[in-house]
Amino acid sequence: MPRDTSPVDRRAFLKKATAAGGAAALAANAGCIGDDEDTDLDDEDDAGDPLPSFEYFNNPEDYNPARHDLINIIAQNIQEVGLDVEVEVLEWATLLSAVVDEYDFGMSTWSQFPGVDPALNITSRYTSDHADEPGTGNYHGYQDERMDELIDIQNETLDFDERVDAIHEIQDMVAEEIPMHPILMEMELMPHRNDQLDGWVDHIEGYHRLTNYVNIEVLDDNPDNQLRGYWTEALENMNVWDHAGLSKHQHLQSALQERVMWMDPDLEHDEELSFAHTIERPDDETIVLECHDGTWSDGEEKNAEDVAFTYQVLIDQTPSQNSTTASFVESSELIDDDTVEIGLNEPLGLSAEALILYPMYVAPQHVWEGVDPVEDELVEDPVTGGMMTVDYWDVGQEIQLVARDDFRLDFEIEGIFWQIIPETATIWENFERGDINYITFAQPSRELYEADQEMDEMSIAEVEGSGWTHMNINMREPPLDEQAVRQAIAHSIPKDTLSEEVYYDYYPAAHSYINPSYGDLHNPDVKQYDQSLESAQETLQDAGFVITDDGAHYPAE
Amino acid sequence: MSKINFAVRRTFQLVLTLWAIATLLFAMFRLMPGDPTTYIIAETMEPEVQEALIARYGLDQPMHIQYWEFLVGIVTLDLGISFHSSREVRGIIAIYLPNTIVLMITALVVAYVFGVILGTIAAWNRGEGSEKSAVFLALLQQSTPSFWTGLIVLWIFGAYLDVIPMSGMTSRDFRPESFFHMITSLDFLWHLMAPALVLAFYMMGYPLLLMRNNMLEVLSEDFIDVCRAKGLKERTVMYKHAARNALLPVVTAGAIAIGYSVGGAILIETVFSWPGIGREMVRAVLRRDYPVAQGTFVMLAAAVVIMNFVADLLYSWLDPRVTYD
Repeated sequence: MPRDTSPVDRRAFLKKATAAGGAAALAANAGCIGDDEDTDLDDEDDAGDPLPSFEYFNNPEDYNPARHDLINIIAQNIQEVGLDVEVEVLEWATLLSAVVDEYDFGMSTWSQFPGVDPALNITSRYTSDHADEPGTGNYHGYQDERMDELIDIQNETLDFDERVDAIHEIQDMVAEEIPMHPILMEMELMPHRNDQLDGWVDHIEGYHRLTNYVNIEVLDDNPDNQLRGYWTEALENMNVWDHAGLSKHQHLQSALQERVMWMDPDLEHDEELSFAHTIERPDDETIVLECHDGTWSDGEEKNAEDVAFTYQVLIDQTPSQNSTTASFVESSELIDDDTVEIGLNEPLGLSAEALILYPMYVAPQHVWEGVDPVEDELVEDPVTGGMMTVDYWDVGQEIQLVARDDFRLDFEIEGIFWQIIPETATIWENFERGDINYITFAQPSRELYEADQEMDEMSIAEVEGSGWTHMNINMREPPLDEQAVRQAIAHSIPKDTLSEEVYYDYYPAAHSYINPSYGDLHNPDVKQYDQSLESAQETLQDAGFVITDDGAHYPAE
Repeated sequence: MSKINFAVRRTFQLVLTLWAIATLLFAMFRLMPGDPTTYIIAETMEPEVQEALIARYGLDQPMHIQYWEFLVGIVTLDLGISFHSSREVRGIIAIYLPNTIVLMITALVVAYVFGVILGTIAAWNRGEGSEKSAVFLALLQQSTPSFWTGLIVLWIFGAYLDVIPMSGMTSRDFRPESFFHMITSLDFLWHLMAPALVLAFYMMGYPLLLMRNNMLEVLSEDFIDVCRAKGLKERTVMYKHAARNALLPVVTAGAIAIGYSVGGAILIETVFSWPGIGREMVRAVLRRDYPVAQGTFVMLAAAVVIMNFVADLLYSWLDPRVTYD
């Protein structure tokens, strides 16, 4: 499908389109690919049993309106190919549980963010053993010996080129066999007041990390020198151990806590931001860290001993909130005042940084010694090691962080203020007034698009993120157990149309399991699908399936 | 039957009702599709770690044990720990419920005071323009979604006129030292005004219509004619004799409304970013946070049942003719 390559021009086009026109175009595009006249129908005598119907789970419209529309449009196209798909709208937790915990689904679509390194996602998603044990990540039911070999290689090798080759082959396999299929690449978006803030640094993990907090420039119209944002629900806990999974906590923990390792925009170790300024790998089962020193927010000394303690707690603790990291770490030893040696229980290659170092915030030993991080999980007044500390926290309403003078890096912002605002219109009104100066969790929406067009004081920093809106396919369920059916479905997805009409062109079409944001790890040459119903039907016919007026059939016996 | 006997019997019924509601809640949350552990268990966790976490929240126990512990928890007011935040449920209720109570009680007082006055006036002026206007107003209040009114109020008075705050309970620079300090501050009253009045607008329709209808009945009774024959002033007849006698069902409705008010006004709390218990209750259900959802629903049910009980007792105090036979 021809596509204008300029985002500005495309968005200008969208602005001109009326809502009704947009809806009409959407409906037309959804159905135009593969009109009946393009379909080369087979002889009904060749047709055996019809392919069984399958379910495509959809989230409720109010949970994620854009994704809800996207799923309906894709389902409509799949139906036109001749496959019998039924869209079932499920409340989000129910949907998630059916897919992730029970492996009981046909197809589903959601977003996922593999983070600074895809190793964990690859391992969880495609390890053959995980297919037999619901709840362990391989909900696709994908099992392949070669894939298992490649997973081990990319996890264990210390040779970068070997890792790149393995991950490229994984992408080829995923693109060809389609246990999942990426639809749109999720950009990290940072709408902000350009009269108050500047200096955003593009990073695969977005703009809510220390990399940005230390680089943001404060402009004249920001007298408080603050980042002022919002969240739609209350923050729950300021526990240094308990940050996994919740974006709202990750955003603030990035400013509050000292991380063992940060990655720079090129996904390499950032020696200044990381508490471990030097990382050495004497062998594939050992990591040696040399650490900065400093003080905690309560004045106590902060040094390598805290790092050794943090990993020792992981080893001792059951259950652990950081169980993935914990499952690899065997020992943690303080070598001298600045140096910690971490022993692994199995060989880990380049992925070790992402699995062992990047997820960990340093816990203050003088606070947590003798305290169970799980049983005594609730922390309301944290001792912090990062650039900021908590100044005021009203759990249901707002939180205010203030800069620490004794942090080792210089930076301009003097604080971060978040208010809890559940109502979208209020968020944007506060933004327009300048009460909020950055949109903390921006996703493509009409509000974003209209502000982008109409507000001179708003700019959007954008960078390719690690995640995608994608389709999960359960390969256990007929007819989705047939590769040709899955490929036909992939052909039928009008990615460019969805990008333009549903996502206001903020998210471009995605083709590979590993996004271009991963640099060399991305394979640009994976198989791409035609976004054509005709190609979808040809794929089915080439594989021996029979397409008649009433849909796709197995061939007659 | 004496008042004491009545109170004992109703207390027994109250406990039975609460037990039935608690049982129903326990069953309902477990019959809902979806696994509560989806939100607390990561797929990357080792199986033994997953099991340990499930055990930590007691979800590995047989259903009858979970049920028994749930009932014991209600009796001892130990409602468990949130799956989501690791806070004690009673701690969560303590954070959000006072905010809701202040908002709801303010709105209820405004709604019932003005509703009763307008209802009285409407009935007194039956057939006149003021009655029609009052009835129209009541129907408008009842049929206008409160969140829509809230958005309109925010839009006009917040966004355009800038005379009310757009969100929250206090201004950014205001740091109250205690809850009492907060609710007695002008800043809080400024934030309270819009959500309370919008809510009051929505709530007012019911007492207005109820009062009007009761008044119309009372006004047709003989003692009103007697009052007039005695030469009492119209205002005295209207307020001291007619309105007072028409008030009884409104008091009952008010008491029950107070019970319901602990559930908060979810939409108003959302529109005005008011950190109330209603918002948390809904989020707890969506997140399958059983302890919080169960705890807040039990609290709501208890408040409604208890206020019903209080309304029953108030009857005899307000109207000595009421007996408990």
